[in-house]
Amino acid sequence: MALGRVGAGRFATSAVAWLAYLIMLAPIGAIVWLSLFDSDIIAIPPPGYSLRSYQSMFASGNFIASFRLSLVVAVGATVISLALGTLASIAIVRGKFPGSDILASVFLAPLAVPGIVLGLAIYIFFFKVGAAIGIRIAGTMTSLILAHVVLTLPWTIRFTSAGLTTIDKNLEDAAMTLGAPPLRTFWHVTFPLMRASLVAAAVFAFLTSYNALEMSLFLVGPGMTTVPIVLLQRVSWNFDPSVAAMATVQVAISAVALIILTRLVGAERIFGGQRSS
Amino acid sequence: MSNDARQAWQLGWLAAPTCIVLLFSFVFPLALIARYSVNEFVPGELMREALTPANYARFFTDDLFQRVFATTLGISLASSFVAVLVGIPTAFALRRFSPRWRSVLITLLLFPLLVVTVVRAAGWVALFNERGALNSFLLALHLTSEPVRFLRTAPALIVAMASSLLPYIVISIDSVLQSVPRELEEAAMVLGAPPHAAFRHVILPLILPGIVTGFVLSFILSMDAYATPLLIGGSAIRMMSPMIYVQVSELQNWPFASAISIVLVVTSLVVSGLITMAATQKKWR
Amino acid sequence: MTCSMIRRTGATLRMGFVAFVTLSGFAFHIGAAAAQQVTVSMVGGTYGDVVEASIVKPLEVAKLKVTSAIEPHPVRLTKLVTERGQPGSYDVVQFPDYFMYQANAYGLLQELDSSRIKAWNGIEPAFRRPYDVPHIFSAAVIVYDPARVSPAPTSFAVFWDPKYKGRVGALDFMFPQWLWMASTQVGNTTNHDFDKGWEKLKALKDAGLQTFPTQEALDSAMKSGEVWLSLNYRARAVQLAKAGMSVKTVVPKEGAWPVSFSFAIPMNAQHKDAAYTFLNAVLAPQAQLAAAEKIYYAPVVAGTKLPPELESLVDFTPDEVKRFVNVDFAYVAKNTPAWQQRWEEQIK
Repeated sequence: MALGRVGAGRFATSAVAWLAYLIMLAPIGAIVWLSLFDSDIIAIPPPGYSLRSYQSMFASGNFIASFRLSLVVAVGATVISLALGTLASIAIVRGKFPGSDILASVFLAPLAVPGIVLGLAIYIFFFKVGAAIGIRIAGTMTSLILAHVVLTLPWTIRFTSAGLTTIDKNLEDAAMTLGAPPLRTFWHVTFPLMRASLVAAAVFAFLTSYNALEMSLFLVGPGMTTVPIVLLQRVSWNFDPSVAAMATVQVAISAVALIILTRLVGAERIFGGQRSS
Repeated sequence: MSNDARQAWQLGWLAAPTCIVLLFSFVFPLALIARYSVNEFVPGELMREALTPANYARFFTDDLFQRVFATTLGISLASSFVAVLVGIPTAFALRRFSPRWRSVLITLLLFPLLVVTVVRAAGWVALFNERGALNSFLLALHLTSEPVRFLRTAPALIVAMASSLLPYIVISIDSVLQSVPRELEEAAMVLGAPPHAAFRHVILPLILPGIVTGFVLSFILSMDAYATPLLIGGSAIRMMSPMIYVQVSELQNWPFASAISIVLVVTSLVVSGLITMAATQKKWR
Repeated sequence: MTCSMIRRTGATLRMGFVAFVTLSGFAFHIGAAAAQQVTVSMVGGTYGDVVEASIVKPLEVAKLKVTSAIEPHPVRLTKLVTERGQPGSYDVVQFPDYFMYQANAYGLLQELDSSRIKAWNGIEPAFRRPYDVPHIFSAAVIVYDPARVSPAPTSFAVFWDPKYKGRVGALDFMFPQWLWMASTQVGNTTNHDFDKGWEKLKALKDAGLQTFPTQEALDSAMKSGEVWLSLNYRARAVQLAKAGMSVKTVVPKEGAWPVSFSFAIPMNAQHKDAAYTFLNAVLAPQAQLAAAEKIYYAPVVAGTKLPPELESLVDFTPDEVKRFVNVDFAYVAKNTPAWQQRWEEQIK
């Protein structure tokens, strides 16, 4: 009797799961659909389908260059953010000091600020500081990466602290009782156990940085541009199927990279925390 | 102080580099925005230095902006709610797969995040359009006789926003679910509890932190949403982030835009704080 | 003279010659380096592509290094404002007319030395301003589907024609143009007093005016036959026609609101000479022609040779240009916030 209800429950959750995946992936399907329009404008329904938007995509030289910059910035920001985030999460998870809870919430704060506001604020501040001390800060690669670090820190801190909390402190204590100094304990005991959450943190940080639009708008220097900016420009001035083609290609490449990464590390462990089995 | 306690205290210093970076790259810039929010705006001139509450007063007394504020809160809460409602069963469904398939499915969830928001929103427009994919589908199946208007309605916006939030929620809940052994449910039912009670009294309290975190995160992200409300909500559903952009780009009213931004940030943080406190205090056991 | 003396003289002369060439080459390089780079900030998309192909590339062939900064207009304006008083990042900036006006009002642009602009006197007077060099122009005209709107409209009054009730579409960001247009219907022939048009606009809204947040949204509506009449740039309409849609444009008797895109030199530009070189390239015949061919905007330089078919589609007759509204940007900037709010509340 109970199993019958369980069966119904199983069916219901499966149905909802299908719905969830449909909702999540529908826009991507739509983008691929748009990219195949045989038309100079996006007007639905299209007169026909063809691959010509993919051909015209390469006419814009910007796209390749933007891809490179987006990648460099995302990787740089992710690495720095991971380092800082891990340190910070050790502090708030393992450390007991007054205000550690408040600090944990403060670390989430960058998410609450709309991208355009944060980008503008950082730009103006960096520029004013740069002007005051005579070095150009705003518009440099450093300022761009720094801004992306701010954007990605909430994610790295969140994932690494989630990973840290699931690691039994006793393991670390045991190691230290056996004579290992704290740093070595961290490197040889904690770090390997955290590896999965570190990868999760890295993935989310990377995606956040890669997608950052408004933040980058203000902080890219002349001659530099990122993928979201190029896509935005095309969407604003003249949204045609080549934009959809660019988006599709970019998703395809990133998807391949993501699949390779998760194959290497084992996605089932990435987001799952610790399983004793 | 014992050695342990002292060490725990000292570990706090590890947060210092992060705090310094955030101070210079986040807190100070935000303070600048707060300073701008009390400046005076004169059309045709840039900001005039002042210490006036006029911008905040305008936001809270003007009908239009009050509606925008309420809409932003409402849509954000609704989208987060829908995402959680759909995300929980999805996370449970994922549990039933073998590790290999689970890894594929989780990777799949991340794909939408690879697409820049503005392009994703454009995809939704193509789906919801009167002549778009969804309507073509409904008409072809004779489920409706004429195209249904989806764009610029709240349900459509909520679905589109929930679609962006689902990956975060599913991953949040899934990671918490990992530490809940599957046998727990069955154990409860063997002891006589009906499935929904087993869920409510045994599983739910264990995964509640994951749900709350996911919900709060979604709420904060929704409050900031720009491209999706702009393209799908359009003129019918106005939210604060697009409004800030209009003030900046069309009207060059920096002080007012700054004031709206501060209100947005403070509201997001306060409401999420309240939700977290309320959820962790409620007696679920 | 002995052989050795001749040889030594020859050697000295050779050394001297080499030294001279090297030194002068060095000097040339320094002098040239200062004039050899320019940083231009402009909007991207197909406009940026056209500028790259028709202006930047020829300049690079002529050994001028052009760095392009692609960003939306509000971002560029913010950067100009923030950098005021400091050495600027940009030598040339591009804006649509209403933004360019703001930038100038804020004191961010240099007044141009017209003697350094070769084609200055050839610029259409309506678009000749002391602080910028125009590139292209178009105007917000009546755009209609000739298959459904007949006879061809001659006046903005067609928007209120009961025959086309509910078939009129407006772009949200064109609220100033719609307001002005409505005010012409109650007899306004000046470039002020647009507020007279609110009642007419409200009446239009009550008769079923649809508003759209983006060009694409309006395009789709026109394509599907939902919207038959609109106010839009001629350039955009030509693009739709080229994509196979049934659209035509007309400049009605009341006139039209022009729009132009231009380039200017910021006050704090670091490479002014190179900036002037760039500005001259903007007015070069090949640049003017390329813009007309690729993005369907009309050339600002009088006498630009366009193929007849293209000319009839994208360009404006002198009579039409005479009917353009002489937009008072100061007036528009001052009233835009109030207009925008009223549009949001009553019309949108």
